[in-house]
Amino acid sequence: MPRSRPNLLERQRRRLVVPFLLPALVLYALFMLYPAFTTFYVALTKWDGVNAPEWAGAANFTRLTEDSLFASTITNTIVFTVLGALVLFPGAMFFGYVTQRMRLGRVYRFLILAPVALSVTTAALLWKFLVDPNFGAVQSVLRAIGLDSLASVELLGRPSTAMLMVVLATVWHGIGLWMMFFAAAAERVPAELKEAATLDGATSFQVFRHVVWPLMWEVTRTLLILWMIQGLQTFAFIIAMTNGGPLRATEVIGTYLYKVAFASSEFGYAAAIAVVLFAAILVLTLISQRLTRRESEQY
Amino acid sequence: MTTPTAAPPALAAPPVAPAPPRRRPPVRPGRVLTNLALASYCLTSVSAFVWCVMVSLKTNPEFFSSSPWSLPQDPQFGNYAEAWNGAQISRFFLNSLYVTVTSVGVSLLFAVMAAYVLARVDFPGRSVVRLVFLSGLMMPAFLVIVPLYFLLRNLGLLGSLHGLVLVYIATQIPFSIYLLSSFFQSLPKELEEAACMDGASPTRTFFSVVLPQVSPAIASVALLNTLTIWNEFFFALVFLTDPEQQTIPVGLLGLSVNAQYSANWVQLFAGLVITMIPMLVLFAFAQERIARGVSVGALKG
Repeated sequence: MPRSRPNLLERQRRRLVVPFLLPALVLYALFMLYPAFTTFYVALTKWDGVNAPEWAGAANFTRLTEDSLFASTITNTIVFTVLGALVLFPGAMFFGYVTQRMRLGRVYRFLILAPVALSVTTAALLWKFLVDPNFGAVQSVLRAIGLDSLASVELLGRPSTAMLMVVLATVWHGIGLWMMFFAAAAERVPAELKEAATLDGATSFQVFRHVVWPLMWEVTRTLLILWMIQGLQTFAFIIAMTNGGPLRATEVIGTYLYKVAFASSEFGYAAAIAVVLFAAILVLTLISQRLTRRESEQY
Repeated sequence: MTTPTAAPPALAAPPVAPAPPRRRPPVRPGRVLTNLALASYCLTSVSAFVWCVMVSLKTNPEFFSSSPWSLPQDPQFGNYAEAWNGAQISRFFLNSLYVTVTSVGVSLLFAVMAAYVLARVDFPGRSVVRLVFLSGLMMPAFLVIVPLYFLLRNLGLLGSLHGLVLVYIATQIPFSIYLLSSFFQSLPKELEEAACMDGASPTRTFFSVVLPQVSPAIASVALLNTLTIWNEFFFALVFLTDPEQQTIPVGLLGLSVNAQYSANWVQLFAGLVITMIPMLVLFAFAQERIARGVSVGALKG
């Protein structure tokens, strides 16, 4: 392609390309790209990490289809993601929308956002101890408000409630950021539209339902996919709160992969799980990009 | 919306035209309910934190015998000193500090340089290089973990903080480049051209003309990366096995396991409170910036 003669600035700048690009590229290639690609090879081998990897073809992947434990981790991951979305999205939307024009809005926002600053371990341990049957503070509150039957339940020790507790802790930790996403989305709704509806006598819920929500739905779709991508990778809260228990009721794909690799030293199999996980994330990312593109065409 | 507070007439020396009478919005039940919901949520949140602080000031026997919500009879501030020195919180703290400062600093420097070139210089293969970097945005940690573990082992860096720093530098690069290059694209080019006309070398132009202009963006990215790295858990858990070399998130987990055996819970809670404080302080000062940066990243990404 014939270019117009680059001016002096352009020519000078070109000298920067290699020295400016190289450090980032080298580190990124060595510690991200190279391992990422190698995973696809490792996934096709049987490897205990001590001896050389043995070629195994697709054996790891056929094993995955027969592994009932893997199947249950997928179910658990989906349960986590769906439960999480059911708690997180209405909550974050509500917080994001109502704190916008409130007198105390900034105070509320700060308090809702603050847990984000805690490390996941701190947040997870805090909730683990709060619901501890021996010394937890939640139990005494439940008793005080007359829910004695619930107070005697070991919330993290029962398969039926453990996942819910992990979900609640995860949502508590991150909801502030999602609140900000929704607040940003709601701000993009033209104020005249809302005012017009209010003048016509709509209640604030009606304004939300018929004016704000149709416009916000586009963003919500994208955020839902973002949440799914995060849900697929959930790890830290589970490790810190239940370590996959009780009876593997909270074992998710991430914790399973971690244990297959670093507790059972089946690195080929772990890599196969990683490849499947990556494929799922890739599909979700592509869907979200398509949605985003359509959205920007509409506006 | 508040009704304008009427200034005492005596003080209003130049008679200000009275503000047009605004109707006070009628008290709607919806508004009350909304406030109630928000307030009770925030109260729960805050009381979780308060509970943690109260436990950290009790003695171990008191912790087990007293009601969870009782105030400590005789606040044991010594628990904090014990956690800091005895339970190695100070060691975790220094490790986290070292890992965060070096990796965020180095990674930011490299990312700024790369983002500048990618945004401003037209060179063959630019779009490919950009795509290679951006592909890192959707690489989950799980995808790289197995080969990375062996790469670090072969380099003799497994279990060391330096190895973790290298990994952290690499993982921050895609996101930083992504955010920074869009900032570079929005900058006007005239200043750089003027500097070039005045005979400044391109490197000099970059460091003394371009960088100062993007410093707010750099500060945002640095904050976000600091928050992420300070709290990073997965890589730290896999790579750091020696308690002497652990960062706060992993070290705390080890402490919580130990607490179950030694029944020294109050010390653990003191440790939890200590680790909460610096990030909460940082957050209190930079809340807006963090929130804005994160939402930009998420909504575009």
